Amino acid sequence: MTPLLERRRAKAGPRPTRRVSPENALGWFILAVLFVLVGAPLLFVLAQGVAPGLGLARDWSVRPELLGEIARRPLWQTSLVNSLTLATGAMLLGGALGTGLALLRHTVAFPGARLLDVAAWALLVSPSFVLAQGWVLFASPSGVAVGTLGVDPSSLVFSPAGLVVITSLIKYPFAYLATSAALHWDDGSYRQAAALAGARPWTVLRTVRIPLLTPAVASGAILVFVDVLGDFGLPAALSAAYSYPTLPYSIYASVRQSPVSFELGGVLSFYLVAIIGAAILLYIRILRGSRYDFLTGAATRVPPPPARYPWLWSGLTALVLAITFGVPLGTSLQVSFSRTLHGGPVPDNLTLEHYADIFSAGSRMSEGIVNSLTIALAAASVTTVLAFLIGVVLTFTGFRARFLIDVAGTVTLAIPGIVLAVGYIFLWNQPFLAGVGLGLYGRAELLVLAGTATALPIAVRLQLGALAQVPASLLNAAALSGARFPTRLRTVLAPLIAPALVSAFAAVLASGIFDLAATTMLAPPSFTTLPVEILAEYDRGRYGYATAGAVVSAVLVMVLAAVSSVIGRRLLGGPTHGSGA
Amino acid sequence: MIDQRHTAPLRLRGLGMRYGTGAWALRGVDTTVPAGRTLAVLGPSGCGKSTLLRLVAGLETPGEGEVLLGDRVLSAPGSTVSPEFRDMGMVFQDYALWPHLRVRDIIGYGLRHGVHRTSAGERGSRVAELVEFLRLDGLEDRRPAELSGGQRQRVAIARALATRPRLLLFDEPLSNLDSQLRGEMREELALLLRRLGTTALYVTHDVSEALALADRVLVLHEGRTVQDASPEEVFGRPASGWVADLAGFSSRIEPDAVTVEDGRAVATVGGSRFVGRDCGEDVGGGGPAAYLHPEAVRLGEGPDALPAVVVSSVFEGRHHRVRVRVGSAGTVLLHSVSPQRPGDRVGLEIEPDGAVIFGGAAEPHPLGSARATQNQVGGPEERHRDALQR
Amino acid sequence: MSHTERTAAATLAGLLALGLSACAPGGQAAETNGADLLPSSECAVEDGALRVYLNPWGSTLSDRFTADTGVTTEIADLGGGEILARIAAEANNPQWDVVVLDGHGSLESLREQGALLSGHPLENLGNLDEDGAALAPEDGSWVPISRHAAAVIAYNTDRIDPDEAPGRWSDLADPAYAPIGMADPAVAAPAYPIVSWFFQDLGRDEAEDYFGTLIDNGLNTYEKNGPVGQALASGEVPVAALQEQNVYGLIDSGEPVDFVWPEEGAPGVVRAAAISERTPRPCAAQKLVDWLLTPEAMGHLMAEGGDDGIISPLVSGTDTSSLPETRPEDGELLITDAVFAAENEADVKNWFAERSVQGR
Repeated sequence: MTPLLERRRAKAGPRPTRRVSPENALGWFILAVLFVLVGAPLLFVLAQGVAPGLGLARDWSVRPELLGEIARRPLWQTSLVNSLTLATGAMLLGGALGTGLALLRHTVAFPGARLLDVAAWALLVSPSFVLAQGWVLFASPSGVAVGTLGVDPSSLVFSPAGLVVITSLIKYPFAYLATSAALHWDDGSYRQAAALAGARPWTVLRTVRIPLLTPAVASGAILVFVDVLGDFGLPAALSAAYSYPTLPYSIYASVRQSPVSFELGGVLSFYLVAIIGAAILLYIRILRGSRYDFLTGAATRVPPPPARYPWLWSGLTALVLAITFGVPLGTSLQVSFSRTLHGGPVPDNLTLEHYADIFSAGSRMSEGIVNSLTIALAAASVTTVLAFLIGVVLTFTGFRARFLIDVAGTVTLAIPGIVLAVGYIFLWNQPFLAGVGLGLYGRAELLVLAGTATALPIAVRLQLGALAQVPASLLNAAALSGARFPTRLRTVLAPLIAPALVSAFAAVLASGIFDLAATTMLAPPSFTTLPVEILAEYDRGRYGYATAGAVVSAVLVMVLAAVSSVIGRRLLGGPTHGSGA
Repeated sequence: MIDQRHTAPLRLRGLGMRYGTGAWALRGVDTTVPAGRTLAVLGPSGCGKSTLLRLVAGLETPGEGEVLLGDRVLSAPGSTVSPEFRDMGMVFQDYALWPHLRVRDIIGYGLRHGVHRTSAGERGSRVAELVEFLRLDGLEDRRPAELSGGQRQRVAIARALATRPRLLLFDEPLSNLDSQLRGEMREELALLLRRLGTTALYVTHDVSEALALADRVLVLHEGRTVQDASPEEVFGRPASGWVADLAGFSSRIEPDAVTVEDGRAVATVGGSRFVGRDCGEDVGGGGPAAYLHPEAVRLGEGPDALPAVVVSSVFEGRHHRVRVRVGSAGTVLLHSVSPQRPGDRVGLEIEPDGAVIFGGAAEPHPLGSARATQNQVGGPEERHRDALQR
Repeated sequence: MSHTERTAAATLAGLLALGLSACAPGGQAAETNGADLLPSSECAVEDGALRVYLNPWGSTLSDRFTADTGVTTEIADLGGGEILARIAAEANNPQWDVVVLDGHGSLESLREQGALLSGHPLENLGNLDEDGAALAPEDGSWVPISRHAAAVIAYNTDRIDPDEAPGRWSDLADPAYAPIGMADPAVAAPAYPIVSWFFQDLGRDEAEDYFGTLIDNGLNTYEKNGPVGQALASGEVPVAALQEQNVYGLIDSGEPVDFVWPEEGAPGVVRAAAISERTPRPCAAQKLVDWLLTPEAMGHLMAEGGDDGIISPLVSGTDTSSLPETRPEDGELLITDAVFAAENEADVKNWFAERSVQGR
């Protein structure tokens, strides 16, 4: 056997030293992919704001004065103010709610505490359009609340304050998960030391835990702000009941209503991206400022002590679940079984006809479900792999442009899908691309790319936490055993973070299937997709059929996510005691 | 049986590195480890020894200097052969055993993936060989979580040996074990390294480990070499007070004068004299100083006894740990069978081999090449950086 | 490796796209001179499926057209707004051959931008009735095929007695009927013809007064006509300016809704078809437009098109027996002049959107 080893060694020989390490090559590759997926389309849209027609028409001009247009348009000013009101309000309220729930979850043990984690993840990956639609159907003057409960909450809900509350209920998971991640490593001995020094629990919270948590809380709140600011699903659903123009909605309106004006969309996108960019920079600064040094020491997970009044906290958890999930999803479920929205839950009004319609042969809804599922599966696969690689570059390499990747990954979180989708048309419909075989516009592949770009930030964030827990020495050990970089990722890293990979896949699958903005703009001719169908039925006033479609696909997504977790864990052969992502 | 013939000498030439544009974590390290020998790199945490190991392993790129294995340049500024092509095996401080794999797969990993891939049959017999060699029989199907500390240690060693590396690297492999097991493993490792005959680099902060395992010891202080010599010489003729302290000569006193008589250093303290080993000038600078090993100091009433006053006395089980003050020269630590009362006057008798004395200027002492490095730059920042690198 | 290379190629392509578009915008597809084309019965159908962007009818149209003529199609069945957005985004490289759309003002805009084929020899243009011929532009760049009411006055019978229902458009300014429901003209494509008619008929100032009063009294705008209908059915709004098809649907399903077709008429939407100036399939495209102008095709679309079939065809000889009984036969349709609609679209919508925001 020795001779064989010898031969290999001779072949490997004194290799010439390499200037581009595989780690750096991966970094540049990721950067290039992000540029194509996000950077170029976004730049294209923003360019329309100062140079209308650039790349689209024969005659284009540079008109930077367009950016000043906002001063002359009350609608835009209102949109800007509305967006900022909503985002700031949700940042404060949703941030407080998320932080409070996370503190509760990690301070005491009580039955059902884990449900808070589940709820946060489920809310995070649920399309805001469906949730907001549930709220609208519940609270509108002709909605379920009036028909079923006999109360009309519409004036309360459809006010700026009411919208802040609803938005907070939908978006609080960002704050919850950020704080939870920090609390996960909250070393009990810090608290015990303070307690022994005579501090009461409240003092311990104020003087030890909160300061340690501040960066996580702040970054969670900023994520809420950013996500609300860029969200399109919420205003889209809301517009059916209440006129509250926000920036993403005005952008949407400017690019898809006659007369189409991309330059105005570009100007508004410019302001939106500028605000979001500033928020993201702040976010990254905060995260940088706190390296969580206290994590690297002996900090370990301390199981929280049992609560003194467990039923109280269980009840609170149940209440949170009932409001955040029960109201919007329960409403959708009820509407999907009702003949009319305002008929209430009386026998006369109950029907299975919407479901029968969906499953009737060749219905457009079922065709849309199949198409959207296919796209979402493809996008989930691509996104999971790409997010894994991004996580590797951010966590385990000294790649110089890591910062850029980090920023690009986070900014994407907030770019309205409609902006990205328009940018995709600009970019991928360039005539010469067809000449080189890359004319993807008008093909389903482009939906996969757009879905990947949209879902990437969440998929990255889902894996970063798990990657951070893998000691670099596990990879170094594989390197010294002779395994090349890709082999190390495949045989060591991927199995170790298998649970995170699987949950990222499931999350992208769930959110991807409802990707409204991208499919509206990019779907090929004769290609029906689920969100477009749901929205179309919704616009026709066929709420029952629309929500039945949403319910069917939600059930399918859950089944698929469950199946893919089982298969994923098998395939990846993760550790027997998988650490939750 | 455990055939490690493909070994080669390791040479480091002017090796240095810094993180970013900060201070140098390591600078100007020159040494050669002859084929089949073991070099221990000794120093406290933050001295740059982990950086040195990472440079040799190819996990970092040097800012200056070169790493050569045999005739092959592995590292130079700006270009580095990746770890997987270096033909090295490494035992990590935390063992770095992959939690998702079983022992047989961990040991066989390098023979299954990448540069050293072999057939399944060959891999199987090699793994079996190593399992037997490292007494891991019956544990092949366990995962790391199901192993004891010593077993994990042996699995990590087996993995490092599996690919028949030309160089073995050890990164404080015993620091995670409790003190009893550490002693056993030290013996085992010493035996193993001799049997293997592979060139090895062994990083540690533990003097007894370095002395027990190495053919040669390189002492690092703030990123610089302070001594590169045989274990006997490091112990017998430390290059500086700092090395003496590291080697266990933990009490420092400042004599009034030091002379050299018949190759021995004689220190004068307040009219009394004692004899010790002449170590020449302290390469770290400073005036005359004597460093005493606690085991070499006894209470006694002889004519040459050094007068002292008891400062404290603490019972430690086998003996009492007694600190005494020798006038204005400093304090001395010693072990006594009986308790002492603070304030009592006592006399000290010192074994000549247990005292190392610097500053005996009478006879110029030829300094070995090992003491070449004189200047000691660097500060706390470096120490901090190195600590972050673990 | 091939994966890497492909991605590298894509990156390069992306960069090139930006570079190229900056220096040499403009299409590569050849422009077609309509006058040089042969009529559809003489020309040879080009290879490839005919790409149709259409708002009404969907596969009902494409399936029958393919069955009748053998020309294969690929349809994008989208909302009016999406169609216009896609056409605009594709200005560089159109991916459509024929567009069928509600709203002749939008097509007039496209004509003015030079995006539509003109001067081509349509064989069945003579099938248009008098009204249709009067609407059609001289160069034949778009062809009107039908009309329907963008809004009639619909009311909730539980909340308003038929005797007290508003009968004329001016009645809606009475605060007693507030809040009035209406699709948002700034967003919903079918709502613009309503507003544009008033702006043309009343003149700008009076129209602004009229809608200003409605907004001040309480005007609930919705993104589309569907939610307007639901709001009306539930009584959330007692009165709505609602598209006629939605009204018939609500009445059919037994909702407490009735309507008035005002004597002075109802603002109408013109449905029209047009061919892309840069279509590579002018023959197949002409075949589709000519086919739409046959009474047989129109009759089929009306009978099988569901809500989309409830229209007043502009093609002579079309069998209209499929129209619901609730639809008045003699309701007058008020059509905004295409040029006026096109020229004032941005201003009117903008005014409406900003007036709504200020009104709150």
